[in-house]
Formats: sequence, structure tokens, C-alpha cells
Amino acid sequence: MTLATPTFAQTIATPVKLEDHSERGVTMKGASALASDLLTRRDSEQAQGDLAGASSTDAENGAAPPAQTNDRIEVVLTGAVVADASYSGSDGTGSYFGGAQFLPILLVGYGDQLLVETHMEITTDSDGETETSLEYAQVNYLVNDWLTVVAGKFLSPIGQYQQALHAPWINKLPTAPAGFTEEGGASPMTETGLMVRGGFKIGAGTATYAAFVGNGPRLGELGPMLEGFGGDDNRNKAIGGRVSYLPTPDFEIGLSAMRARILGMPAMAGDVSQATYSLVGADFAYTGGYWDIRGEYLRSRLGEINSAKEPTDPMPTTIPRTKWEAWYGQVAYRLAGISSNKVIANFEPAIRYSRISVSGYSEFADVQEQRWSFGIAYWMKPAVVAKVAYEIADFPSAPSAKRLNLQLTFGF
Amino acid sequence: MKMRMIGLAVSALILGGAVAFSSATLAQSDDQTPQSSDPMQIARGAKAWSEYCGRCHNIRDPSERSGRSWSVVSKHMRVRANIPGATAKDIEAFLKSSSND
Repeated sequence: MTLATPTFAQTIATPVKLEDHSERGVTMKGASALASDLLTRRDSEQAQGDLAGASSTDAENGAAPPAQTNDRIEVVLTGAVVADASYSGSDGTGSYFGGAQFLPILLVGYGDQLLVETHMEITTDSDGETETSLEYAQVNYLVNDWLTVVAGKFLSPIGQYQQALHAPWINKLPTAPAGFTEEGGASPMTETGLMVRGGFKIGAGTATYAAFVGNGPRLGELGPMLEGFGGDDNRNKAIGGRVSYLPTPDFEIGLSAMRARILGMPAMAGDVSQATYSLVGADFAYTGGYWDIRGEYLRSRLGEINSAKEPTDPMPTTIPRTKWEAWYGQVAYRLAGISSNKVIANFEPAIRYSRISVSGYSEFADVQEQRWSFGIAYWMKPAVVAKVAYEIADFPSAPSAKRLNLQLTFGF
Repeated sequence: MKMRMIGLAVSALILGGAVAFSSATLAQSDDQTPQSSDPMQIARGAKAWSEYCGRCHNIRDPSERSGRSWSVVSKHMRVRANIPGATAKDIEAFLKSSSND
């Protein structure tokens, strides 16, 4: 007696578990092989008329289900919990356990075309206080296959790190690249306003776009604060966006741009002025095989502006035209590519070089830094990861800092 | 003043475009619940799942969530990653077919 080989339809009806394919290297990359298996089997069965017979039977039985509309409200809680620790023998901060972070994302779907997304950041600071912030709260209207309209506070679509990689359960290293942080960074974090975005096929490739209009940045003590404010202090809207093209699913190249007018920080007395802020950027990503190779470059400038240096200044100061440049290059490799051992295969070493430089106003230049990061991640589950990284940071006006960072992230 | 005009113009363009496209496409929208019994769609979804999701993060096991949960999460990722709608629906169909329901 011989056992019949399952048909494609039978196979596809069986729930797929990644663990079933651990022989492919205990890695999510095994999913690609799984998908290929399924499609190959489908093609084979099509050739045998297997599926054709099934289709005609379905049609005869009137089995093709009618299109259904979906007006159901669905609520999903996702997000991450993060624990950090750090040690430095060179900068005097010693060792400490960083503040824990609870990063819940609440998704509410209403039917097939409406989706609400809210993301809170709940953290503990060094004084033991709990800080709460709203990273984004947006309503998405999925108009058609290639257009979604977004309203509210959303992640900036400029570049790739902020909108795609900054989540701790995605980031290969415990820290963000130099210049891609909230305080004095050159990378826009969030925006409040309207955005259109989507993707569509062009030949064998895929093109994506995102364009926004929003309240825009404000000037702070470390430079432009590139985040979404719930009001507009100068009634001039910021515009910007990003386009990208993927000739193959594992290679993407993107271009970004943004333009805004920024109002000087008010002083106790005296008039402040406005200046134009402009940004251009480019990024790429290659994720073929077990490699994850990425790079991103941002260049921005702010024209001469009359502004207070800090809110308590009696009079504004003329701040000269200032230019920022920030970039990083990062290479990571999942060891599943060289070992089928279930433990070794879950390690992923990563190296990153990042840099931010500032020319113009000297007090904005305090954020200048170049940093090497050498890390390794151990993926216990696809979104549960322990990371350790050794970082060497050089500053133009301060001693170098060497730091060991550890992070445990549980994404859910 | 110039930036304000540009901002207003872009806002009007976005809103006008959205309204125009929504009225043009709502009636014929194919944004309907994926027919997870379609083996072809599930196969396309399995391939797209392996190609698109792994671009930014490790691929999540379909059995981590229920089908209804995947329906919402796949829309979330469609918006975040600018995945073409038809491809996102294929991925959703595959995830629901292998969910923990």
C-alpha cells in the first residue's frame, strides 16, 4: 500500500508553522523556500489538470463565494517591551540598567478600508518618574490598491530608519545611529498633518511613494526639532516625502526631500525671524539571502535666522546659516547561512558606522559625533531578541566614549 | 507667504485627490475580505510573505495570531511598508489560512 502524495490544495489547507521548516536553517529565510515549494507544487498539479478539475467542480457546485463586504471592528494590541543595560569605563557614567520601555501599539480596523493606529511610549527615566508620549496616532483610509490617505500624527516617511527600522524588535543593534535620534538629530521623527502613500508594480519591480503636508519643525536649543507638533507656530506648512523603487524584492533604493519655514525661538523681548529649512536624503537596502545591508544619507540646512538661544534669553541672536549631514552604513548577517545548528543559526552579528556633522552655528555643533557599533543579536523568536553591542564614539570637542550596551526586547 | 501657499496647495491636492480617487474606486473597490479558500491566492501570498515581510524584520510565524488579528495587522503593514494592495491581500489570505484559528 502506498500513501498518496498530498495535492497542492491539501497542502495549502494545512496550517504552516515555521518550526516545521527548521531543517532549512531555523530562520525565517526558510519561508522563501517554503513558498517556492508551494508554488512549484501548484505548477506541477496545474500541469496534471488537478487544479483545473477542482476549479470546474467548484464552479459546477456554485462554490465560488460571493464577494463579501466587511464592516466588522477588530482591535489588536501589539508592540514591545524593552529592557536596557549599559556599561562604560571611559565617560564616568559607569554601569546602569536603563529605563524599561513599554511600547504598545493599538490597531483598530473598521471594515476593509479604515485602520486606526496609535503608538504610545511609556518609559521610566533616571529619576524613577514615568514618562508617557504619543509617538503616533493616525487614521488610514485605504482608498485603493495603490493609495492610502493618512491623517493625524504619523512617523515621518523621510528615509528608511525612522519609519521601518527603529522599533527595538527590528533594529539589529541596541542603539539608533548617530544623527538619527530625537535630540539634535538630523532625521525627522514624526509629523502632524496629512499624508498620501502607497505602492504599485512597475514591470517586475515595485515602486513606493509617500508625500505629506504638516505643521513642520520648530527651533530648539540643539537645532530644529523634527517632530510632529500639535499646532503650527508660524502658519507655514512643511511638505516632504519619499519615493523608492525595488527592482527585486530584496533591493530598494529611496530618495527623500522636505522643505519648511521655521520660526525663531521667542526671547523675552525683540522680534524673531523665519528661515527656510530644507532636507534631501537617499537610502538603500539589500536583504538577499542571510544578508541585511543598509545605508542612509541625510543633508539639511537652515538659513540665517533671528532667534533666542534658549527661552530665557532677553533678546534674540542672529544665528548663521547652518548645515547638517548625517549618514550610516550597516551590515548584518544571520549565521543560519553558514550553520544549521539551531543555536548558532539564531545569532546575527552586525556592524554599523554612523556620523553626524554640523557646520555653521557652533552651539548646534555640540551634537557632532562619529560612532562605530559592533554588535551581535540572538533571536529567540522572530521578535524576541537579546542584543549586545560595543560602541566607540568620537566627538570633536569631547573625549571619546566607549560603551557596552545590552538590550532585551520582547515584541508581541 | 510662499511656503504657506505651497502648503495649502499641497493640502488641497491631497484632499482633492483622495476624494476623487475614493469616489472613483469605492464602487469598484476590490478591497474585500480575501477569499482564503483560493489556493492560488494563498500560494501567491506565501511567496509575497517571504519576500516583503523579511525586507525590514524577521518573518512572523502565521500561527502567532488569529485570522482576524492578521487581517488588521496585514493592513497595518500594508500602510507602513507601502505594499501594493493586491499583494497585501494575498499575504493576508496566506496568513489567515495558516493562523492559529
